[in-house]
Amino acid sequence: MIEIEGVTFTYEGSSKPALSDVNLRIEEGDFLLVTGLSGSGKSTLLRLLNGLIPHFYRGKMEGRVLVDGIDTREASVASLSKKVGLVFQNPEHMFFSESVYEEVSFGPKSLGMSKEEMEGAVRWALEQVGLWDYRMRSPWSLSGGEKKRLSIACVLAMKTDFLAVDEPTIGQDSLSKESLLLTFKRLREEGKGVVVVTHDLEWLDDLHPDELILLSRGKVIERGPSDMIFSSVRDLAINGLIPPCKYILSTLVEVK
Amino acid sequence: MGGIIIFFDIMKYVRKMIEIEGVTFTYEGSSKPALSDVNLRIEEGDFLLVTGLSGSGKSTLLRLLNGLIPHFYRGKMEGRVLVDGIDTREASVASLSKKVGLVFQNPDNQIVTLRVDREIAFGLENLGFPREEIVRRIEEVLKKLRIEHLRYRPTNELSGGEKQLVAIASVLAMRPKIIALDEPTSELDPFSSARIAYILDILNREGITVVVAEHKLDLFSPFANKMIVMANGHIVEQGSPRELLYKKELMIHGVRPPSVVKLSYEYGVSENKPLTLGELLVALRGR
Repeated sequence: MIEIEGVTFTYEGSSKPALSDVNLRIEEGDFLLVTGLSGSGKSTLLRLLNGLIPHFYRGKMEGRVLVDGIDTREASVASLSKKVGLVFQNPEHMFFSESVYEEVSFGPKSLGMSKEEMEGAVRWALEQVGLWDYRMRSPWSLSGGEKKRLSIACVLAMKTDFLAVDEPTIGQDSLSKESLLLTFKRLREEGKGVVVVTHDLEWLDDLHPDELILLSRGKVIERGPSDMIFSSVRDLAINGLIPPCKYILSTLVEVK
Repeated sequence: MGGIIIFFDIMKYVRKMIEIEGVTFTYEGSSKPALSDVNLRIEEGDFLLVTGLSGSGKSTLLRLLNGLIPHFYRGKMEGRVLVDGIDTREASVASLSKKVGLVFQNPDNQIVTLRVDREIAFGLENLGFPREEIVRRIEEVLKKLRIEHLRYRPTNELSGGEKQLVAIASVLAMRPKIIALDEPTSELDPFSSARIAYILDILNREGITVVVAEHKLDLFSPFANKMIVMANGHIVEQGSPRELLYKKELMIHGVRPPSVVKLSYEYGVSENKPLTLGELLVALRGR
């Protein structure tokens, strides 16, 4: 379980907090959707989950984050990353291997998986994102959308209990979006805790997230079951987000 | 009779801007052609939406338009591309770039200077334009894109959407007749994406021919008058967005209909072929 308790975080050199008094609880099997415009604090929230904040990003932090009961300030990022896998928005910043296969096997190797276990995990992860046929290619030869899927595979292969993904649909065509959706669905059924940060509400509507969190300027301004929040079309629109089409339509029809 | 005369009158003004004739292109080192026997005609004033899965040849098609293929990307090319009647193999990329401006997916790869006005001036300076003309054009494009307030801002402090608008501005400063954009909104949030779509509509209404490769059909199809679907280097469907998006065959090529189309089937008003929520609502009321 991940518990975020009253966290306020201000980056060094910034006068305004990136997150203000955020409280959140994510259990295994939960599917959480976080949305909000650019700069609303979404990425900062993700960085809290595996201890990148406060270990890597400097700033002033109040409140605390517990992962399986352990305060992230007292745990190392390495030990936290065994529990929480994080996929960043710009995946190419982390690639360093010569082949897709090596890139994905790095995580399992560093976790000390056996060779057999590792091979199984890498293959499974690459198949999940449709990149198994690309395993011998260089990560740099991939398109933007494929790089993104590769970075998701890297984290999947580590078989963490929690998975947090920043903007998975960027640069993806419709087929890749569908297969990513299936992957998330499966992870949820397997009892993993999944947090997805996205603007693409239409895409996630099918999955009926357990909870949707709408951030604006570092504050949680709406939270609840996704259907409920999608129905408050006005609130989403005011925050620059486009609710799934069918909710807009039903609002318009009601108004009529 | 009158109708026919007017028709011929109009035909005189409908000019073919770009003709792609039987083009097959294979990148050097690749065994499979990226484009196979592509034939396409883009006319002045068109708003052409190009869609299809990743790797279907959309980017390669755009690279044909301003001569990046065959001048910059190596490979084997058959057939020919005419821009304003001139074969791109015989024209320089510099002269073609005055006619066709290309905007890439990631604005970070396109922006080369540290300040917005310098960025817009960059291409013009390289072509040796006088200073007054450069200043005039900077003001013109900033106004056109409604980003006057960004003029003196450092480019590295811009948001993704603002960067993309600046990339478009620097291309427009060359006053091209055609602007071609490769997935311009793929890295942008919904608000910035919608802004790009509306700006392209405005430019098109002002007479600029627009070619845009996109996955976000919801956003762009209402503005486009023509649409093509690509698969494995071929153009597999061609027509108006309204006609194509209501074709079931689209699914075979991995293209999913936009949500308005799905909803109009659900509500039983698909024969009206609405493309926007507004049109869908009108169709529902008329039922």
